[in-house]
This record gives sequence, structure tokens and C-alpha cells, in this order.
Amino acid sequence: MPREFALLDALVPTLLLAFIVAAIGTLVLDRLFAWLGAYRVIWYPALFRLSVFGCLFAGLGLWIYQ
Amino acid sequence: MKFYLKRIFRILITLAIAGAAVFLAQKLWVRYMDSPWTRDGRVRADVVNIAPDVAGLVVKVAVRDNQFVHRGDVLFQIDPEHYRHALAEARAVVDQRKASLAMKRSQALRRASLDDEVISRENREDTDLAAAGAKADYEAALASLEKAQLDMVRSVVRSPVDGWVSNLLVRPGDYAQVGAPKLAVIDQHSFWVYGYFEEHKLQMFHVGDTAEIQLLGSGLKLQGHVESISMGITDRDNPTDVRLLANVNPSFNWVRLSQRVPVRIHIDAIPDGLTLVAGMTCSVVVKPSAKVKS
Amino acid sequence: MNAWSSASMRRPLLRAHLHLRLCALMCSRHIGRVAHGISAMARALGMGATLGAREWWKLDAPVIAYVFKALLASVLAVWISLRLEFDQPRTALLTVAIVMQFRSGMVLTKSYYRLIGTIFGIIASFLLVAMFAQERVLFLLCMTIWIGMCTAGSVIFRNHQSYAFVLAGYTLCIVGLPATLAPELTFNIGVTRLSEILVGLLCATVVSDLVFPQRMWNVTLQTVRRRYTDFCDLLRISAREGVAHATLQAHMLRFIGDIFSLESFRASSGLETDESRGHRHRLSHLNNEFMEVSTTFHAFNRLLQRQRNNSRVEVREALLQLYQLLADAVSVHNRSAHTEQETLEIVQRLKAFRDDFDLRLQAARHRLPASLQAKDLLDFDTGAAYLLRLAEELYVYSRTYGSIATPDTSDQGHTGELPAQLEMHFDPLAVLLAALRGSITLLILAGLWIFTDWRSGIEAITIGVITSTLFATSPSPSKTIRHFMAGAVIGTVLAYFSNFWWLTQAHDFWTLIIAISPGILLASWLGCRPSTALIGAGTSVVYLLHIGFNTVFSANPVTFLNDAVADLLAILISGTMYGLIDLSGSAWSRQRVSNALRSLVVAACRESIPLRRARFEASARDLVQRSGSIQRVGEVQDQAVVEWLFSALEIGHAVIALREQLPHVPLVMAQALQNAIHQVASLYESPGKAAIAKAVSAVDQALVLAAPTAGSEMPLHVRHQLLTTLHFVHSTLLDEASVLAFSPTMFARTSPAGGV
Repeated sequence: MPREFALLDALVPTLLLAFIVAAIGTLVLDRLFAWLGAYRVIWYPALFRLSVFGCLFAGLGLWIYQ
Repeated sequence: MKFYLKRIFRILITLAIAGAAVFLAQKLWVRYMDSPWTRDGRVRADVVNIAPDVAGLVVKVAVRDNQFVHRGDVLFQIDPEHYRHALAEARAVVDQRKASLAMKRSQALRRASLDDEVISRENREDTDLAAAGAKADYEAALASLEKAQLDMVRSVVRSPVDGWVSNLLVRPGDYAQVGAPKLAVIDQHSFWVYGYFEEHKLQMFHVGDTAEIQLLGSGLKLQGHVESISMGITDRDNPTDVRLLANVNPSFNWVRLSQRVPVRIHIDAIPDGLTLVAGMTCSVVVKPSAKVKS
Repeated sequence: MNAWSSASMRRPLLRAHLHLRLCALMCSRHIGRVAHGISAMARALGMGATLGAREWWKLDAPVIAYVFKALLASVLAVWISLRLEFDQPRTALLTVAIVMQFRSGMVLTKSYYRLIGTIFGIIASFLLVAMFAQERVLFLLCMTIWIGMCTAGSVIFRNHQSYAFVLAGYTLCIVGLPATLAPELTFNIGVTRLSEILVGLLCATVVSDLVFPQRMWNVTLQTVRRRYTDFCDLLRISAREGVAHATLQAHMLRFIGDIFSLESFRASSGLETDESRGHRHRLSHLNNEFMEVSTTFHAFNRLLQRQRNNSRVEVREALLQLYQLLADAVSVHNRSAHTEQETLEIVQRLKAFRDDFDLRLQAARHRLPASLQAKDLLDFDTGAAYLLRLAEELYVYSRTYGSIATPDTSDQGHTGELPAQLEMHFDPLAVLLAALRGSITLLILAGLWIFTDWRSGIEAITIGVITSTLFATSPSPSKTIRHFMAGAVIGTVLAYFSNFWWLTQAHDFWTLIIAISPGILLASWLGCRPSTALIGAGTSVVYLLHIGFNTVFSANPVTFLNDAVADLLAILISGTMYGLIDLSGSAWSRQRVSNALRSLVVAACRESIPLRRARFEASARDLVQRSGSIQRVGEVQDQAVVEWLFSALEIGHAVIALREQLPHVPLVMAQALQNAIHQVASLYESPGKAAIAKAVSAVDQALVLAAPTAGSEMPLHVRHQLLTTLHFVHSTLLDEASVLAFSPTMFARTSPAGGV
């Protein structure tokens, strides 16, 4: 993966893209969990959501900067 | 009991994913912040500023902008007329001095064979010295001739290196001053990369470690190795004043940010077909050798 | 507690659309409880200090937590901004201060709209700078148009959408104006501001969602529960002893406020992820059903009041007996239901009441003395019909409310069908004037800037734009501006001490935080108390605009004083403009609201496609809500507006019901009905004694035709419906206390007699 990409001719770190992708992914997963009722087995949904985002973002980041 | 089990289970699930997130984030942090790589790298090359050695009107420009030239190829030519005249004059002076020297020598030779009754000793010594002086004059004239010849040769400006003409601003009819650069030639064999590494990353690698250079906007990776590390950067908080006294900045950043130190990366091989331009931006990733890690 | 809640509700709850007040709104009840807690503490001193302390902790802990949450978010934002070397960390700070709210759902929603507004503002800045970077006059003129549009948008839209428009305007000031001084840096400035704002938003949302989150859903549920209990209380009291007109009206106004605040909660909980999302549709239904049931309740009680004066005592007694049965049905253990479980029980009883109603009605009718005339019987039938309608609507409402307790069962009753949205109704002229006001404020400040070569012109324009867009929907702008001004003064003083006393001592990140935190703590504490919310807003905006640091210390006394003067001047100018173009306080604007309400009734009479009942309700209420009259019921002229609202609601509903029956009646009857409706419309077009007389006689004619003896053929239930509705209209028109008895021109000068 290139470490930078051109966004409207402005070069930004790919990490930013990873951030956006992770945010969207978190939203989708969140809807999915809410639909499945998964939040009933979760103790602290806010922390859970942030953690899901953290995992997605960090995972993507590690993949980009391998 | 069952209630507590369920509660513990819920807490465990949440904490597990939170732990995973913290772990991954920490790894990413370490990789992004604490691994020896930088986004701030520049391709550099030796640039030769071509300035004529002799002054005069430019009569011919033999190259186009951005043209590749070999070492010794003609770049442009300065009007040689003046120098041809100077050369002719120098030759004439040589001839004149040569004649003068011959005359003085024969005078001295002739006087040497006469005895003291015929001419005075003083007279004989004078002619000897006059001959020596004429010889020196002659040698000076020879040197002038050589200089005039050199000027003549130097009126044709040639490339000192293999490389590319850049920023060609000279046109026929310009007046070229001695020592004023008229164009630049970028040395083909001199490309290297400067990676500006944060100061805390300098401890993570050593001279000789392999490095990977990723040019901006292309997927291409160049291989290289750390050639040397710059041994000094300016102290930005203390520019010295005209009287060499310290001038320390009265305010300091709330959050201390690391400065950057240039690290010279040698490019091992430049792939064919790659247009490498001095000044390009690139990322540099250094792979510390195993020896260093231990 | 009840007294407290009603008192605190009347004050600030209704300013829901004023975004900075939203947090005040959120915790107004809470503050009520705090005060309650303090009084409880005083009591507890005698009984045992531990109890009082525990109570105090329970009530005050959220406020303390909130203040420190705001501080935590600010610290995070500053740290990240400094770490990323942004050149104005205070933009991130300001973002945190603006977005931080008591409830995390609100923070999320507000952040979302702030982001949208900012992006649009930045795009506008780029366009304007690209076009007119050299031409300051054209630039400022275009900017004026943009600000006018943003002000208009913020008036038209409710809640947080309104806030997006405020932001779009304000962003043009913080990106576009500095960019005119250095056009080549526009892109960088735009991107940096966007990054700073993003950092602020992320910090605020993460902190408020993660650290002691205060869920929207809890407060929504509390509101819904309290509303149900209050309504049942009111119903039981009115059945037992009757309620005075003034009390009834006060309650109804509070209910209107409730409806709109619930709508704003509903809108805000959209981004919150817990239970509330699954309940959003149900909340919409709940709101619509509550609107209907409260209108019917009001109409029925007015009917009872009228009958007290005009009807036979036997009729009243019989009706009250039936009413008492309904009141018994909504009582659990001799009080109103407090939980959803109790409500489920009530739903069963209401169902039984509805099913048995016919039998009981017949029995009651038989018990009436035979000497009664047809008119008295009709009185009784009308009352009974409204009572039945009240019972039915209450049943539906209770069922929906009770179903909240059981989230997993599907929406009983309204599967698939989407609830009607609370639609928006606004006065185009008012919007235009608000836009004009925003534009003029900007023009004045821009003129000052250009002609006097003012150093702090940009600063002044920024504050001027913020105040003139932000408070455009405020019910009493002059008071709002006064509060904001007070906050601005506090903020300036704080900024002075921060900049020149404390920041000069600071030498690293933590001392920096110590130097700026007193201001942040004070501003957020002021901001979360309803009585000082606007002062808090002024404090935080001005304080954070002036705070003198970026990556290094950079406060300069001369600039600071210039900017402080510029701020105060800008607030003064925009306050003056609010005074000059006052949309909500003037008799003229109230006149317009009354006229709009009347023309709504006219529309209900005349539109070729009959209005839907829910839509009519929402329109009427939204008009009044926007006018801000509800917040000022104490004033005579505002009472007139409220009177018109109820009059419009009563008659409008009856007219819609009549028009629904039109296709089912014979031609002669239909013509008479049309005529009656036409006369009612004329009455609402130009009220007056003569118009009333004409309308009454038209209704009388229709009544005569509809009577069973008149011989026109129609189904029994249609006839019943016609008779009762017409009779209701008749008695409403003849009501001595009604606003209809006064001509509209009189309202500007005199107070309605209306028993208030």
C-alpha cells in the first residue's frame, strides 16, 4: 500500500483514508449489532463502539504500514 | 449466581474487545511514531553551475534545455575573435622576444671572446645580463602565449560531467561575465536521497542499514542504504546576532515536538525508465539490520 | 415535585430551537431537582446529614461530572492540536465548548450538523475568495447575501439543523475573511480550520459518549412518563372538581412545549445508538397521538365549562358521572400511572370503558328527566360524543406509551405505517426580515471595517455574525443578547487574567492547561445552568476567541484590547438590530401569528382537499411555538395569540370532521353544511359580532336540517356525528369568552375578556 495518496491533488497520508473507512465500518457494524441485539450482552456500549473503531482503524493502519 | 455470571460475561466481552483495541492501537502507534521511517524525504543530486571562464559575447548555444550531455560535450561558445587576436599578439610578442633574445645572446657571445684590452669588463658583464633578461622576457612571452591559447580553448564551454542541462537561460548574443553561472548541469551519477528523520529515530538505525525509498505518487520502490547522518543542524531557538551574542527565543512550544535531522541515503540502483528528478518528495523506510537490534 | 416541574417547565423548556439553550433544556428539570435537593438537604439537617449528603451527591454529581467532562474534552483537543501543530488550537477548544452538551446524543447530533455547516461554509469561502479576493466590496456584498441566506435557514429549520446554518455563516468569517488578507493561503487556512474543528468534534463526542454518558433516552423516557402522569392527573382533577380556564390553558401550553421538546429529543437521539433508535417511530406516534388527545381534552373541558353556564343541571350531572368513570379508568391505586406496566393495566380498562360506553350512555340517557328538550338532549349527546372520542384517543395514546415498556414486541397498531413528521410552518415575511437583519448587521460592521481601517474588523464581523444568526429564533432576543453580553464581559475579564497573569507563568503543557482551565470550568458551569446558559455561551465564545496562545504564547495587550472592544461593539450593534427588527416581541408580529392561525382555519374550510387532522394540529402549534408567545403567556397580547390557537384548534377540528361527512349526506344537507362551513370561514377571515351571528344562523339551519325530524336520509352514525359536531360548533361560536367575539383590530389594544 502506498503510504500517501492524492485526494483532489492534495497528498494526504493513507492513514486518513483508513480513519474514514474505519469510521464508516464502525457505523455499519454498529447498526448490525443493534439489529442483532448484540448490545444486550455488552456491558458498556460506548466503550465497545470505540473499541470496535479502534480495532478497525489500527488494523487497517498496521496493514498499510507493514 | 446466574445473574452474576451473565454480568461478568458482559463485562468480559467488552473488556476483551477494548483490550484488543488498545493492543492494536499501541502497535500502530509504535509503528507510526517509533519505527525508523519518514514521510519527509527528498531526492537530491549534485548540480554543477556552469559559468564561463572567459568573458565575451555568446555566439552559439549548442544544447537545448533538459538535454542529456556527456562529459566534454560543447555547451555554448563565446565569441573567440578577441582571444584569437590576443593569441596572434602573444605570438608576435614571442617572436619579437625571441629575436631580441638571439640578438642579446650573440652580443654576449661575441663580447665573451674579446679580451680585457678591447672592451671593459663592465661592458662584457652588461651584455651577459642583458641576454639573461631577454631570455626571461622571452619566457614571459611564451607564458602569455599559453594563456592566450587557454583563453581561446576556454571560449568553448564544455560539460564537466555526464548529466542533464537544466535551467538553460543563455541565448546567443548574451554577454557572458567571467564566473556568472549561465546554466546548470545535473550530474547523472550523483543522485541520492535526504531523509529528514525525527531526532528520536536516529538511535534506531546505523550507517549501512538498508533503506526503502518510495517516491510520491508512484508505487515504485527504490533500494538504498544509509550513507551518512548529518552531524549538525541549526539551533532554531538561538540565532546569533551580529555581535555573535546569543539571542534565545523567550517562549517555547507548549508541547515539545522533535526536530528533524537529514540522513543521507545512497540509492543502490535506479531502474531503467524511471524519471528521477532532484527535489522529488519521497518516503524513506529504514530497515535496521538484525545486528543493530540486538 | 409537581409544582417544581411545572414551574421549571414553563420557564426555559420551550426554547428548544435555540441551540445553545439545548443543554439548558436538558437539565432544566434537573436543576429543578438540584434546587429541590438543596431544600431537601436543608430539611435533612435535622434528620441526619448522611441522607442529605447522599441526596446532594445524587443530584449534583452529574453537573460536576459534566463540568469536568468539558474540561477533559478541552484538554484532549488542545493536546492533539498542539501535537499536530495546528496554528489555532483555540478553534478546537471553541468547537468543544460549543458542541459540549449534557446528553451525549445531543453532542453527536450537534457535531454532525456542525461538521456539515462547516464544510459548506468552507466551500463558500473558497468560492468567494476565488472570485472576489481583490474586490473587497463585492466580496463583502456576496458575504452579506450568504449570511442572509444562513440566517433565513436558521430561522426556517428547527433544532440542530438550524445550527448547521449558523455554522455555515460563521465559518465564512473564520476562513473566508482571513483568507482575503492572504488569498494564496486560503486552501491551507480552510484545511487547518477543518482539521481543528474535526479534532474538537471528535474529542467532545468521544468524551461525552465514553465518560459517564448521560443518555438521551433516559431524559426522553422521563419526559414521556411525566407527561402521561401529568395528563392523567389533570384529567382526574377536572373530572372531580373541574378546572378553571386559566389553569387549563397553562397546562395546555406546557403540553405544547413538551411536544416540541420531545420532538427535539427524538431528532437528537437519532445518532445515539441504544434503545432510543428503535423507539423513534414510536415517539413520533406518541407525539401525534398526544396532540390529538390533548386537543380533544381541551375541547371537552371547554364544553363542560360552557355547559356550566348554559345547560340544565341534570345534563351536566349525567355527563360528569360518565366522565368520572373515565377518570376512574385511568387511576391506579387512586393515583395516576407512574410506570409503563401500570399503563398496560390502564389500557385494558380504557378498552373496557370504550366497549361498555354505549350501554352506559343509554342508561344515563334513560335516567335523564323526560322534561328535557331536544336541545338539552343534544347538549348531552355532544358531550358524550366528545367524551367517547377522548376515551378512544386516550386508549390509543396509552397503548403506544405502554408499548415502550416492551421494546421487543412489534409496534402494535402501526406496523409499517410511517408516522407523520412534525412539519415545519413558518412565516416567509419573518424569515425575510431575519435574513435582512443578519445582512444589515454584517453590512454595518463591514462598513465600519472598511471605512475606518479597523484593526479588529474581522473579529467584530465574526462575533456579529455569530450573534445575529444564533439568536434569530430566540423568543426574546433583547434579553438573550443582554445575557450574551454579560457573558462576553465575563469572558473578556477572564481572558485578560488568563492571558496576562496566568499564561505568562505557564511554561509547559500542564501549566498551560492550569492557566486556561478556570475559564473553561466557569463557562461550562454557567452553560449548564438554565438561568445562566446564555451567559455561559457568551463567556465561552468570547473567552476562547481571545485566549492568547497558539503553539507558543502569543497574547498581545494592544490586540487584546482592540479585539475586546470590537466584540462588545459587535454584540451591541447586533443587539440594536434585534431591537430594531424585532420579529417576536412586537404587536405586529403577534397580529401576524393570529392571522396565520385564522387563515389556517379558513384553509381547513376552503381547501379543495381537506387537511389532515394531524397536519392541521402540527401547523397550528408550530406557528405558535415559533412565535415564542408560549414563553410569555404572562403578557396580555401573547394570551390573545394563545386564545386564537385554541379557538382555531376547536373549530378547525370540527370543520375537518364535518367535511369528512360531506360525501355521505344528501344534497340538501350537503348544501346546508357547505354554507355553514363557508360562513365559519368568513367569520375567521374577518371576525366580528355580525359575522358570528351569520355563522351561527348558518349552523342553526344545518342543525335543523340534520335533525331526525327533518326527514333527510342518512346513516344513523353520520347523523349522530353531524348533530354533535354542529352543536359543538354552535356552542363554541356562542361562547361569550371566545376571542371570536372581539374584532381583530381590538386585539392590538385591548385584552380579551376570556376568563383569564
